[in-house]
Amino acid sequence: MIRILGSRLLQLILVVIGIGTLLFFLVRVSGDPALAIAGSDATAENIASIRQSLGLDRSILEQYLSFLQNLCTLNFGESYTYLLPAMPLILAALPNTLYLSFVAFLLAIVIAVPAGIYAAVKRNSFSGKAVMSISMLGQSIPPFVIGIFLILVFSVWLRWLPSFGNEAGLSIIMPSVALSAVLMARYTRLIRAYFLEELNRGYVRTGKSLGFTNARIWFKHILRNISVPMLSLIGIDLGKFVGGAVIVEAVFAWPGIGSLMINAVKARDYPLLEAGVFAIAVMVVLLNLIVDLLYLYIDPRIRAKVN
Amino acid sequence: MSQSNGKPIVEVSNLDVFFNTTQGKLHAIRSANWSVSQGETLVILGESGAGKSVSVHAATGLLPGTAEITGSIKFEGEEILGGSEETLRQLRAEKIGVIFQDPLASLDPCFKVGAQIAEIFTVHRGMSKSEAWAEAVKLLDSVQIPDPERRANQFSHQLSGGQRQRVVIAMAIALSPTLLIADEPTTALDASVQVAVLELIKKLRNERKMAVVLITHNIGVAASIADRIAIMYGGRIVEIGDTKEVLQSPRHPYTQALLASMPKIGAGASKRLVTITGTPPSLATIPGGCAFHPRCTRAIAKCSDVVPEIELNKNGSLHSFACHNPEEAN
Amino acid sequence: MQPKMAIGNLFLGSKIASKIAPNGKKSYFLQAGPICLFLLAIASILSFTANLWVAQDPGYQDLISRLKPPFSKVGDLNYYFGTDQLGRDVFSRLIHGGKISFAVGLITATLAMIIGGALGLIAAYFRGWQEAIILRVVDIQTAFPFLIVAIAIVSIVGSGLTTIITTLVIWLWTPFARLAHAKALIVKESEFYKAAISSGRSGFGLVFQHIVPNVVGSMMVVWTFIVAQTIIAESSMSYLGLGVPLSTPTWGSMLSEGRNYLENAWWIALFPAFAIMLTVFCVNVFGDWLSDRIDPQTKKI
Repeated sequence: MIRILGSRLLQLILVVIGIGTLLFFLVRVSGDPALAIAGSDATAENIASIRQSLGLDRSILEQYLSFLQNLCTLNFGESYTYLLPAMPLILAALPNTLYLSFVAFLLAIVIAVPAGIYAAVKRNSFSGKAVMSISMLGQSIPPFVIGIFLILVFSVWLRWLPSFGNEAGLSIIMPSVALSAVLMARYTRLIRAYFLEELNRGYVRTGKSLGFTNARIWFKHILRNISVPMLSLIGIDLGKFVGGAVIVEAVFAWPGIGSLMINAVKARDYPLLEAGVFAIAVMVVLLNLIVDLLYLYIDPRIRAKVN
Repeated sequence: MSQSNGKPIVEVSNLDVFFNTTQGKLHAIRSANWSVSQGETLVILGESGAGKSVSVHAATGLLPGTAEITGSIKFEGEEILGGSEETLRQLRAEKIGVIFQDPLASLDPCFKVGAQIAEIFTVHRGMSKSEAWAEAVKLLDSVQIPDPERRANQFSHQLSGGQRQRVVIAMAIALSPTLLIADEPTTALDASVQVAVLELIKKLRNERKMAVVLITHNIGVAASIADRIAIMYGGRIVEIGDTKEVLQSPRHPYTQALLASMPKIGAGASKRLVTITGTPPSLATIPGGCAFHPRCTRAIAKCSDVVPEIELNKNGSLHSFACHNPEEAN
Repeated sequence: MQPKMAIGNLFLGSKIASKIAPNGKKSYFLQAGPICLFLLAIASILSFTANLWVAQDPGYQDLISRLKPPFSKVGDLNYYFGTDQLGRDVFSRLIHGGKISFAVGLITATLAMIIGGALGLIAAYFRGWQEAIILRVVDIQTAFPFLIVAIAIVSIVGSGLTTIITTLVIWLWTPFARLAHAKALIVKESEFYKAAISSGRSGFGLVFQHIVPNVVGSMMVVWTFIVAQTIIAESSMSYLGLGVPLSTPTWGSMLSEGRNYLENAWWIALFPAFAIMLTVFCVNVFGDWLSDRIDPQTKKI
């Protein structure tokens, strides 16, 4: 238990310092941030004062050390565009991002589990193959493309749903569908594959010999067993999932971290960008930690190894 | 023998099993006839690939969908071949218990063994969780697992091989089936544990008056538990009869050869072990005529052309065999 | 995976079951794989030769004929897919835009395969600290939303083809490394490998003669899937304005421009959307087909 926590914590520190350092040097190497902030018609004094206020006149080592120090205190400085401390801005947008991600993830699981099992059980019939073909198509459409399709159909043609923002309760529908579609399709296919593999296992045969119904064997026993490899894939997918969330937010102008970061990119607002990357790193590592703990709950063999 | 007086549980007659494959139809079981009665143990003995498991699982409805089964299988007097999936499921639930070869694989790794046994009672007997759990612990005790309370709370990977197989046996007998099928129940176990598991099966059979069909490739196992033995080769039963008769005066050359290939305690170094030359045929390459003729030392011309029919109850004898040129009776 | 076969295994014991060959078709996209490869080849050739056969300049603006719907005719110019908000020909931009998608997809996946494969083999060959470091980096990177990092990097360094490819390679070498490592470890356990070692072989010769041939098939399958992923990633970045400079048409940037005109000019976004979808779909179907033939396990990566 403590080992898992420790290893995740270590990972978190490595990731944050690694990425922070990378961004720090890239920013310094690629040009003078002061120029970017001051804009094209700034005077030399203007630039000099910005340099001084940002500490850019000190040596690069000094700057780096103070950057690390700030990293530890979560102080990323003020956003250039909003003129407010960057971290609180990000934290204020966080609930929206979590809301979107959670709904999308739930949607993916709720659809993929029955669809995957259906495709496995009906593997030789037309309907089972149809599920697989649809999921293959679903896996091939990036979230922002699905977003465009959804907007066209439901906002432009049918006029049922708002095409951007998070004003109405219904606003969550399109972004979450767009974000979950790839995952839904992928999990449908994987659940089918794992399910078919699991059908060979002795415990399935035992269940049949005990006269259990297929439904019981599928949903109670097989599902429990495939949740172990599925969990590890979910862990691997988390990063991509959050990446997708950023783009979906941009498409639907969803007021989360993603939208904030895209704006930061366009405005070269580095403090905001760094704070965003940092927040997402922490979020992903924490989600991975939850996955680890779920592992322990589901698979007694892993639990035994840890204890 | 007393066993023949019991009421017949399973009667298989003229059973043929085919598998549809890309290589065409494979004829896995060829006109098999056997039956087993209450309290009796029938052992089906043969090398792997002889069709032992297929012939038995045809009766449980556990063969894959590609299997095509003809003939007749009567369970407690009722024809079950061609019955609905639901009838077969009910039958498996209430009347048939099955023990498989690999006890670790047979158990669900994600649930406590107690919970797996209890599930049987909650599903088929409608018990509450706590009642079912108590029943599961009782059952673990009856299959001689020491400290059943503690074991019930463990997972399959925490048990030893012998204990696992006892758990599997407990699950198989949970609903007091009339037929227990044991498919190589001791093969995956250590030699020392094998004997204990066989003794347990014997004890349970006597207590519960079950019919037992045990599948094995091990003559020692067969000898220690069987009332009757059926020898299978190339998808056919080539010899069937009371254990004593089959083992002491085998008539089919294959049975004879099998026995000769087994070391006998006390026989000393003077008697050499005889091995059967050649390898057993695969389903796709079963030779014409008597399937054993290419490896048979007593083969005559007829053997490669005409399939020897097994003559059941000839002259009132329960010992039957399928051979054109049988060994002399002792 | 052949399900009937699988259940056969269950009850028959492996010996009999192995002789009962699968009955029926293996994959639901049985013939679609080669067809998709063919279509992709045609599409990429058409894109790369766009200069030769597409009459319209993709950058040519004609503000008088802006937002014309598909099949409009202005003077003697045919706008099959309509025009965008600057009066540029959507059809021409679509064909030219394919160049970036295909080029980035192929180059990135290939570079990632070479680098990732090499690192994976190094990890498996030496074990020890090399393995520890490489696998650790793979772990951390797979768990992290690298697209975010890519966004940050590109926004700092500035967009451009080289930056995009470099960033994507840094991202996508990990699945190859993981795969090469896992497969190489299996080879190292094999008898023929041990025999080669006991006959005194070592180093590059050993790796190239015995390990590489056993890894290459699965790598090709993963390569296909990574091409699809790269095309998605590139178009995502273009959509966010982080791709190649806007003077070069890409499907992602077309989509992003079209997003603002969905109300009155759906064609600007819809055609590139279909282009991305169909391309990725074809690559995935081909990859699926390939993996059925070479290594079904790779689907689960």
